[in-house]
Amino acid sequence: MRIKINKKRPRIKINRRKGNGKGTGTEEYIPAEAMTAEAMSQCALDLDLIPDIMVRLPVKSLLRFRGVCKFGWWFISSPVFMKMHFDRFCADPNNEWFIIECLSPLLHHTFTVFNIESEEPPRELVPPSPASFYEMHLVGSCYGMVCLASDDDGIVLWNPALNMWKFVEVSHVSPEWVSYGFGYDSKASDFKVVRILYLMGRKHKKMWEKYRTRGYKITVQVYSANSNSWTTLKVDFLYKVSPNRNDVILHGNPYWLATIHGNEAVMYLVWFDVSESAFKTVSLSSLNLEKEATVDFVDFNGDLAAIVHDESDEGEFKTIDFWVYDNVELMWRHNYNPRAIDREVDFVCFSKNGKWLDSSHLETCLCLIQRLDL
Amino acid sequence: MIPLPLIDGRTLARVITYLNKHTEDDASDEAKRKFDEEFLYGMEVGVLYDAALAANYLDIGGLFHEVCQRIADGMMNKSVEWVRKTFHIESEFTSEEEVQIKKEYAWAWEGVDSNAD
Repeated sequence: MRIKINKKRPRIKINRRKGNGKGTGTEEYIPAEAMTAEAMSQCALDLDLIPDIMVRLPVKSLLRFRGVCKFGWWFISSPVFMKMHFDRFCADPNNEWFIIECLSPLLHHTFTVFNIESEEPPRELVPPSPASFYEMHLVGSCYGMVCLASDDDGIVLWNPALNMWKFVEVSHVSPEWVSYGFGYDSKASDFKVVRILYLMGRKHKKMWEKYRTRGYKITVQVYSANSNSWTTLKVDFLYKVSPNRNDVILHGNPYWLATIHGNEAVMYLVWFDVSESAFKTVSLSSLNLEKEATVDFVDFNGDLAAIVHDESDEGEFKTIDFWVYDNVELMWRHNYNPRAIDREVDFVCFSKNGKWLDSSHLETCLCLIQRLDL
Repeated sequence: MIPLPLIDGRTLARVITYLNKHTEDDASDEAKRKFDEEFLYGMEVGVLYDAALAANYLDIGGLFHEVCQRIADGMMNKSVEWVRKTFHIESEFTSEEEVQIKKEYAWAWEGVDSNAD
């Protein structure tokens, strides 16, 4: 995929080649004020090379080079270029940024970003609206966007690289509890937020009589960033998921550990396919989970993986098992041998090149550590 | 004889060296990567830039991407003034506008190479 700048007729065009050799293009016109003869006439950099060099620069450099000249400001800010840069960096295996959520002594949620491949120190993110942001917890992050949520206030979609954010209100229905999921539909280039609401049955007596569940009426709402609207999903959702947030986001789809009402001994992994707007399940039977075991799910280089902690009677972690889900055979495969560890391990995360990161790597008290594409 | 008006002799010689290595029958990918590393090491931005133009004109994808990456790596930490000076770009921004642009994403100016080079 190449961006071409047409010097004779001022517009830029992305060419995507189909299998038959014919190209399809997206075009954008360069505004006159960006193509000033004075600035670019002496420019030693051929316009043909500008896109291919710029697309390789990190966000920090691009934000700075916007100030080089008006053409640079327009070009770097153009949606065509931003999408191309975004797609390229999301796919880059060396893009090793992480976002960490911590609870301060005042119980404020603070956020830090760091790059494990860089020598730059971790940088604390300053949200634009601290008063409300500090009450919000991290739902997750994918494709460069971070989702924060607060049951009382709403949700926020936040791009830390550009420090741009969008606040979205939620319907106030006083749920018993709620769980959020965050995802990205790459087909529609749309960020989605899933809100699963558990409303107490006795407050909705007629509903309780109709559903005969354990007193919960479950409503699922989905927010689309492109249309900036919520839709209530017409679906029979019978699962009880972890409160607050999804357990992992994989390929832009949120996953929750869940049980079914009425049979809470059996656990499932429920996930929301953002492209199809449908819930699907992953069986956990081949994990052979013990009753007291706790399990964390992680993205292991694009595969779904489970870290099973087996606790001793004193509540200390005894052994740790690592499993990876085989999408073809539809079963979990044991990856590492069980090993005894002498420390408590929280919130494991993997980098794109398979490095293991957990709370012991950092000195602060963590709530969550997630990979972030910047 | 095929005239190539956009490429000077020295650049063309470099491109031919690159092509000779990359079309060798028994050269492994690892050997090619090692060759690229040594071949392009230490090249100045101006020389890389000529090579990129040549590779673009002759449609040599591998060389083009490699050289563009090198140019990007070379300019990544440079200042706005360095970019303007190296590529002879005039700025139409007023000083107030420049201050505003810098203020918007002040963190992007941290850790930038000094203009001594």
